[in-house]
Amino acid sequence: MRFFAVEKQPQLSLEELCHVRWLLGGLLALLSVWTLFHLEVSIWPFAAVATVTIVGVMLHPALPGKVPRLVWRLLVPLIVVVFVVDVLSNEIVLSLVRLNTMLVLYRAVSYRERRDDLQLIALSLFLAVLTGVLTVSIVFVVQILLFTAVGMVLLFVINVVDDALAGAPVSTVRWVRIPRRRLLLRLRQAADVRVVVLAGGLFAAVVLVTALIFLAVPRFEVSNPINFLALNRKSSLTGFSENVALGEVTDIQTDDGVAMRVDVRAGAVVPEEPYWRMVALDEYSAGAFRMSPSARSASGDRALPYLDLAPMQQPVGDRDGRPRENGRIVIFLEPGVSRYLPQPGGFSEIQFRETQEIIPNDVLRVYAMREASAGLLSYQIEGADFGGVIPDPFFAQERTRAATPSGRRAAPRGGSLSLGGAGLEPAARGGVAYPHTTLALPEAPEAREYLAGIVAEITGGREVGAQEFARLACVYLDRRHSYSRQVRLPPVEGTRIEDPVIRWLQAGAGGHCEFFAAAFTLLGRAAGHPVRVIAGFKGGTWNGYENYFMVRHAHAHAWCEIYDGAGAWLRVDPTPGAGGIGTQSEPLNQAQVALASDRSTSAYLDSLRMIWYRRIVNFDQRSQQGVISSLRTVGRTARVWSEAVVQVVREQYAAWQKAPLSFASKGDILVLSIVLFLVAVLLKRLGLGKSDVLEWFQRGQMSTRRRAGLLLQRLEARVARPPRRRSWDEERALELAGQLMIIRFGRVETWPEPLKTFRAVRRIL
Amino acid sequence: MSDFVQATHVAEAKSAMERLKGSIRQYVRGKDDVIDKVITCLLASGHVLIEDLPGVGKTTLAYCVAKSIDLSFKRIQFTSDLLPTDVTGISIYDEKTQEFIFKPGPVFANIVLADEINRATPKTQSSLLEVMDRGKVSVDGRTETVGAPFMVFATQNPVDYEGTFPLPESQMDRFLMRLQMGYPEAADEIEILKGARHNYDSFALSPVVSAREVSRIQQIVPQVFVEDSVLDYMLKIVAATRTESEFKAGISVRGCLALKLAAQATALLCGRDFVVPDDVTRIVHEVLVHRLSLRRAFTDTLEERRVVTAILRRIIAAIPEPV
Repeated sequence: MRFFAVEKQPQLSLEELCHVRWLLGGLLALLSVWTLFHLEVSIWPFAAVATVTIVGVMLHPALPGKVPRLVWRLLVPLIVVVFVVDVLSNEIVLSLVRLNTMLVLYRAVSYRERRDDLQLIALSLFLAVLTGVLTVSIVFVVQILLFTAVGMVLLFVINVVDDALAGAPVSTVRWVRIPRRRLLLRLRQAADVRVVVLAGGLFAAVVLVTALIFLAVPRFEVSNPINFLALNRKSSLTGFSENVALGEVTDIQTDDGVAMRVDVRAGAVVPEEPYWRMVALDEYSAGAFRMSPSARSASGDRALPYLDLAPMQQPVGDRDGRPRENGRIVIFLEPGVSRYLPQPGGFSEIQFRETQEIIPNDVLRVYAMREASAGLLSYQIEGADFGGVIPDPFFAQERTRAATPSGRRAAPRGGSLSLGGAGLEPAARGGVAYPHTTLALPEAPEAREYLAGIVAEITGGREVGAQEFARLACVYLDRRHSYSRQVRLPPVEGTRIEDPVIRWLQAGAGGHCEFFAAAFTLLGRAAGHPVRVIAGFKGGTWNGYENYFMVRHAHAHAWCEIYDGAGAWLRVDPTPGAGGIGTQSEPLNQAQVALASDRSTSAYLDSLRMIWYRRIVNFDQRSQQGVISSLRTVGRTARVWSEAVVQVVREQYAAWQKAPLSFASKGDILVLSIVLFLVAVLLKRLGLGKSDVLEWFQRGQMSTRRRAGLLLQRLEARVARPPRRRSWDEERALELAGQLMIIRFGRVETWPEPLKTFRAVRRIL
Repeated sequence: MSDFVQATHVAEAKSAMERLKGSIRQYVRGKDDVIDKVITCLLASGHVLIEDLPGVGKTTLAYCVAKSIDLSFKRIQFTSDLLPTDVTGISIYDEKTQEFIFKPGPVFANIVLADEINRATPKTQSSLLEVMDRGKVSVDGRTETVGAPFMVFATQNPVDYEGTFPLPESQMDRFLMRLQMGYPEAADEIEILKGARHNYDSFALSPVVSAREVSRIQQIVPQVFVEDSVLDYMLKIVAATRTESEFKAGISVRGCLALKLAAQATALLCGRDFVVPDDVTRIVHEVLVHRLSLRRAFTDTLEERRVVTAILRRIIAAIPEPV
């Protein structure tokens, strides 16, 4: 016969349960309100006020009781009025979010019965899901997981409280003050390891089932999805638009946030410092470049739905005409970066996951959406070419047309030189139209004279081709100007020329990429070569955790493209150290990738986002098929592997059986026996028996009595042989031994605080 | 009354027993351990068999206990011609009233010293069975209750067996403990020699504990808490005696209950309201050894006692104390 030690598990009182319920409700509301911080900035103050109020009321539950009843009665009509006004003056989605937040706040700060708690759960869930759908952020996953866990516990507590109340209203509970430390202690005491493990298991099962459902729900290719959630997320510093003033790109560089991620698929080759074109700016006016209206409308200014689009020109070929072999890259563009899609310039096709409204501009080779994407935008680029040579048959045609006698006209206003000997025709009255804009210079004659002087200095008065001119101009700029983020221009009074770029050239001052690009553009045009400014990103860092490119806002850059006179635009990067004309850094090999990889903590966190994008956001029909196929492969492999293992084990066992009895052949049994013996000795030395091991497996921990007994044993040994240290206090040790003895052998009702005693004993030991 | 002992009761009990010990020590020197065990027996409402040579202080001890508690004390010198009625009392025909009148025997006292109990015949010895068990005496169809508290101090000489009748097992089982006084230590004996020789009547002892207090403490003892692992420990010891091949029979259920009660009384004496394994090991030999008999026959009871003690020690050593 065996007497089992039975201890009564401490239980929370009704009041304590109500306190837990109150705190859980508040926590749930907080979790949903915090999702608002992923939305646009205008809603942040609203979320902050809600957070402070909920936290205040959570910690001081007596506060709502001090608010007059009349105020509570007026609150709901007030919320309705605010919502109506909001709807009439703002977007419906944002108004809905605000209404939901107000209702969550109202429920979170008022005393709740069972029905109110359920309302709070539903409202909070709606808010969390709404913002989650809007943001599609990885943080949403964490929040919804937390939300689910807290919600499940809250539902459990609601049921327990209801049972305990047996129909009485919760209002019978006194809402005075929550003794937080004591409540925490009581929760620790009352927490049953088995219940916690069971709850954890249930939660894990829920998550697992959800994940399986996610994988299993059939995906369909929706050709025309409803894009009703066009709500802007956080405002960004980025400003790649049709108008870029000097200094704007450099401003963007101050933001270290990730602008886009580039998933380089197998077979794709990305150079060490790739250029990502976003906007091409052909028109210059007093220190600002812009995309001229004529260029914008050159190939139509209408947004059309595209699932995939290809440039009108064929992919760029090598010098010998062979198409360049390149693989596939997938770009994940962060929300709000720009409506212009970053792309390498040369590619054979862009594929979108869903139909997108795109305004393609094959003249400038830029592709814009109707507006910047509210959510993350991913698209795949086939045949990406980072070579920096962009064919432009349109420009070549225009040039040919302009070269015919009928097409010969006077030089355009603002353009002083012919286009390689052949002037281009203005397309619109009253202004310079594309492609003439690529030759336009400042109107001031002094400025033109100055530029002509420099061109003469660069070329030595001879006529040089575009490529050679670009090389010479880059050398000239590199020699006279240094790179600097701070630009100090001489005062306007000292010169008659107001144009900042000319003044910069005159001063020989240091400047950033935009000044170099602008200066080169003006010089190139002054020399008679069509030149345009390109803004986008250059470079990026390789994420060592998930193997992809992270392009940050700090990689924003401006460079130029010069028309080579033979049907293509050549990339020229006049910024010192950038390599000048048409250069392309070599692709990274594996060793270089390993060395250049960013393995910082922020890169790790970013890699988590990438996993989210790759595995969850980008999970489509193709991915689903891939998963099913992988599962089949895994199943087949596992079966083959297990059969092989069984076969090997069988053979080994047969050989082992047949082997003569020797230390070498049966040594494993001996080793196993020794290990078991040592374990048994160790357990015995520790005073642990079979029942302890069983108990440990069953309860996850030893009983309080057992823990007290083991500590008492150690303490008695220490008292028998006291340490020599000064701090040893024998009286205290004996006192603690007495307390341990009570916990070990006394009635539970007479126990001193066990955890406190254990801590004190460990300290003295 | 609540089902567990209040701290104040424990303190009061300890204080009372300390006073009692102090009082007994005045005349019984160097025998603190025996005094403790006798008091344990008293608290557990048990009886004690003191087995030792004559002249080592057995009677003095019993007398001191009685005197210190304000209890009535009777001494019965057991001889072979002692009749049961000499112990329990007898009904005598009164010619005047023409009725039988019960004349109570010496057993009607709080503390009864049954000196050299093994000198009496088994019939006389067994006359003590009922009173030791129930605190009642049945004579001629009448049942009389003895005083409370009631305790039998029996003594016997383990060496001189001439003309003795060994106590039967059923009788032995009635004794909570069997104790040995032993010779005093030299220093204590010097003290005894220096002191004047007293006869019992000249003992200057006054009661330090009232009979009522003792009764109340006796009621508290069964409420002292015994944790399951300690009960398990006791049960393992008892079970081991039952499977030990050297013993004729193992410890009975009464013996097991006696062990528990004695451990509870020991805990209370130490000022605790719960039993620890030490309480069990401290009294286990005194409670169990006299209840065990060996299969092989021994002519020398002292030798038999030593063997039983050794086997029991081996058994206890093999059972781990609860940690």
